Amino acid sequence: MTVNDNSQVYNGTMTAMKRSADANTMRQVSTLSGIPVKTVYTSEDAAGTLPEPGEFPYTRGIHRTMYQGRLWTMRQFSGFATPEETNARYRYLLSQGQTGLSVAFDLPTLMGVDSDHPTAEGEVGKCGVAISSLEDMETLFDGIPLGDVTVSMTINSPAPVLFAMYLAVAEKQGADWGRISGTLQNDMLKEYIAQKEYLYPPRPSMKLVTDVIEFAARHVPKFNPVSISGYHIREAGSTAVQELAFTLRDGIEYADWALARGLSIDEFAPRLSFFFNSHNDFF
Amino acid sequence: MPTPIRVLVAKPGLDGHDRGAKVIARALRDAGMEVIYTGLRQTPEMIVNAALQEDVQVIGLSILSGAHNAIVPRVMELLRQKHMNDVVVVVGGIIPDEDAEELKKKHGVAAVYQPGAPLEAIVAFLRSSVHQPA
Amino acid sequence: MRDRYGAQDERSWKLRFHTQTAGCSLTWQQPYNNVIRTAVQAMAAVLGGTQSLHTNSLDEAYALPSEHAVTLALRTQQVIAHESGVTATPDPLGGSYFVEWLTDEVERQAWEYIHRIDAMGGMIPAIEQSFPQREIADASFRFQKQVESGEAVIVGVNRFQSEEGERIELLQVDESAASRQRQKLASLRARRDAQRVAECLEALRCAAREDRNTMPLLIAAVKAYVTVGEICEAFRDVYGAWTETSVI
Repeated sequence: MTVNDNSQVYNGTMTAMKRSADANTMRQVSTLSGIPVKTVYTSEDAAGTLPEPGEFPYTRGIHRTMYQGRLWTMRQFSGFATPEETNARYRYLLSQGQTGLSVAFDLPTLMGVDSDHPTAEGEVGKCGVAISSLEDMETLFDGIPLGDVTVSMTINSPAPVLFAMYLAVAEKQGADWGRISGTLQNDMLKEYIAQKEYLYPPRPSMKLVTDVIEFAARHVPKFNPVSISGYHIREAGSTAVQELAFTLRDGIEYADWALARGLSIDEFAPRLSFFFNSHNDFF
Repeated sequence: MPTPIRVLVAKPGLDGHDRGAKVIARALRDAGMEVIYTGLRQTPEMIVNAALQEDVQVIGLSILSGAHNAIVPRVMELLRQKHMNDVVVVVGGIIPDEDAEELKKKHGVAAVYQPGAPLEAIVAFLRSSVHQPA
Repeated sequence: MRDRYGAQDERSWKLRFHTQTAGCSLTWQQPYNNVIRTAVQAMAAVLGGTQSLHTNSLDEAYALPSEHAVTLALRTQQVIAHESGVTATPDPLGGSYFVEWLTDEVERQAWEYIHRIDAMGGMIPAIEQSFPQREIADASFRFQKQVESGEAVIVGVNRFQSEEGERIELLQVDESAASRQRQKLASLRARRDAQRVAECLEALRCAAREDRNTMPLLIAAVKAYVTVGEICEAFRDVYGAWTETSVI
């Protein structure tokens, strides 16, 4: 019992906890996540030397030159109403020089419910694009060469189904599965922890996630089959420490399941990707 | 000692973002009310049945998905059918001003709380609008 | 990866990540303040070394963003990338006493959680016992209390409020989208080979029961125009549904 007992440190958000009667005492502050911050930091606090950028354990970044070499990808998430309307928006974005797409699905799709189901009433196309069948997916990517663009899909419970549709569309377009690239969110653990868009119990969900990881490792090697997400954990109100800890532990769980499936670590680990939240408190 | 106000906090629709619903449930409980939280993905029928069975005086609906215009009128209609007109219905979530007005005027919702509404104001409103039996 | 699993490939050791600025930090009141929040958050993500970034639009917490708002969000990234100088050298904050201390501290506390979850038997038992859910709900409630008490300041919400309601236009999705989707689906359901659909669904149920990889069958099913809803329903027949114990 160590972490939970830290609850008494959650005392403020870069704000005064208690202003001491002594005017000389500086106010006590802590980060947005409740880590107390001292008045001054010195070389005593940052012990040891850091590895260089691009060197294990990559504290200073995973590449030697970082953004000197290549900027980060500016990937804006979009999707609304019907596949026709979203397709038009994607074509526009690509014509403006954007090289990656990021698909937002509507709530019924995220929950594995077709657009014509009664529970979808009032929610079709509201928070993203509605996709119920391969026909919708064909429309969504009509005229968009899946061999050339990378596509990120924010979908979890029905992720294996949407991935199957994506592969079917790529095949129809004549794009080689060995070359196509993109990211499937497909992170079910954080659904139970935070976002709550689950359908089945955790173990069958893990089995389906692992099906995708295994299939991708063998047939679609450039695709990221899971994006292990802390973002939603933080949005649900966690601290930064909780976001990081639960997300990394989720990553360990996926790795354990994939190993149990008979994959070797280096067959799938390079394609595990992560997704974090960047909050107000700058540090 | 007055009997505590009984509140049903419900999360209708497909959306699973329950942070707000949970914070409200806890705040009302801390304010001495008896709170029943329905959990996620409740249909209007399930909500009204739960309200009937639990004999609540207040129903709080948390809706962030934009489906309020489909869900809230249905809940109000069911309450009328079951002669539960005395139940105070409040709605919290991302509700544009025009929709909030319509929900109140046309459908009889007692209050609509948009993001950032102080918990204390909600507690005070419920205390003042629930008719307490002597 | 290297130490826990003995991965050899250097690419396995690297944590690649995407970042999105915090939707939950956006406020309904004084919505233009959200542009500034997003800029600060985006800068933090870049200093953290992110591989890709989504910047929220000022209206994003409330609706799908309008075209104007999306453009402004993209421009925020472009200003950081091309004008701020932050890209000139890798990890410009490297060696900052405070940043390095905080990095170590966050890492230390995160490991404590990870060891606790390991001791519970992994993430699934932890979820079944509502452990992470409860930790998050507690943190969230603590924060809300700080906002209520004014201890945590949110500009425009509990400090520096303005009387005038400054509201932004929200994008309204055309209500006809839903009916157009319904019509297309009805026509598809009438056109497709119903027997082939039933066979695909039965094959999926079998694979789910027998613990085989479902991907090849899923690809066959979607090609026969079996829908997302039908496939999820078939899996639910085998796996059952999940309802969580609500933690409040």
